[in-house]
Amino acid sequence: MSSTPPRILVIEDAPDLRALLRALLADDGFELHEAPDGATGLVLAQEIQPDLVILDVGLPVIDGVEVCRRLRAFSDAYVLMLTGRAEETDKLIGLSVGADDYVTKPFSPRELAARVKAMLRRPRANVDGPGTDRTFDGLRIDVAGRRVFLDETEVAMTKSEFDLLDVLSASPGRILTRAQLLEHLWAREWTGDDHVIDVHMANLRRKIESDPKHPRFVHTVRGVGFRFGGR
Amino acid sequence: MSELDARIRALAKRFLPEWRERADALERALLSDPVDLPTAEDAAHQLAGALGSFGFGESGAAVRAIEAALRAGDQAGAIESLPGFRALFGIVRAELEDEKGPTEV
Repeated sequence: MSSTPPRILVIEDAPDLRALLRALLADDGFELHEAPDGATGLVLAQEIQPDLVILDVGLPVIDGVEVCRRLRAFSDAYVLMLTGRAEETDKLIGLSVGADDYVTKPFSPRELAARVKAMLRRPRANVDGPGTDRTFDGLRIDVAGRRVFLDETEVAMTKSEFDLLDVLSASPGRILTRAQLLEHLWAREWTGDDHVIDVHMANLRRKIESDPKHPRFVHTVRGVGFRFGGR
Repeated sequence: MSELDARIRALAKRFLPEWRERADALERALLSDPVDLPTAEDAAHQLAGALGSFGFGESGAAVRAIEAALRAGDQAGAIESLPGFRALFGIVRAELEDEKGPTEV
């Protein structure tokens, strides 16, 4: 984490929930910004470049899924979506457009705060020195710069996608379980379900694999987890 | 009560009038003829998210059941669940209006 306080943008139309989030996060040294709707949130996000966005799915006019899609055009901030129980499919749609995680309303304030803090201090798999690239059959991973190139064309990655690729590619041939990947991405406070990993993995494969059903780089080891390279 | 709990409690007190208005709007919308579905669904949705997240799990679950019934097209079921929600929300009101009252789990 840098020395400047992490910047969090809350995009939520309900004033009571905005106030609750403010109460939860205000004392943790975060710089907190708020927007009551998607349009205002997007303008604010461009202006302040947040590190993390807490985004309600059920926003009026422009819903949270669309806000996330537009946000991803200019920001790689962590996105934590707030969804209602009646909006199960929104969770998956949200992850498919670049959200990193979701929390279901009603949420436990402490769990949400823990999730935010865990995301903002995700450990990185910086096993290589700064400036070291990893290259695998046309795929180049600039670990220090957190950039990925496929045949020297840069591939846009969300933070979660990069973190997954980073930890897997740090140990080619080694199998990592979903639990290990979750622990790496969200640290110990993570209490969600491991389906999140599969969704992020599918998104990652769509970006780096020419045929995601027959991947070259990230392989599924059925019933166990995932492995980078090797068959 | 931790400092955070106290802060959340104070916020709940601040937003109680708003929740009361929403609960009244939900009741009016459900009892109107025909049922005012958009208003009822919106009020139930907002109340469910807020009450549950502020720690009033039982009343939050009760209003969520109303929301679920409305979304499933079961208006009669939603109306039937209204008195139960009103009773549980009455407990929330009493707690917040009387600082020494018991805390709903």
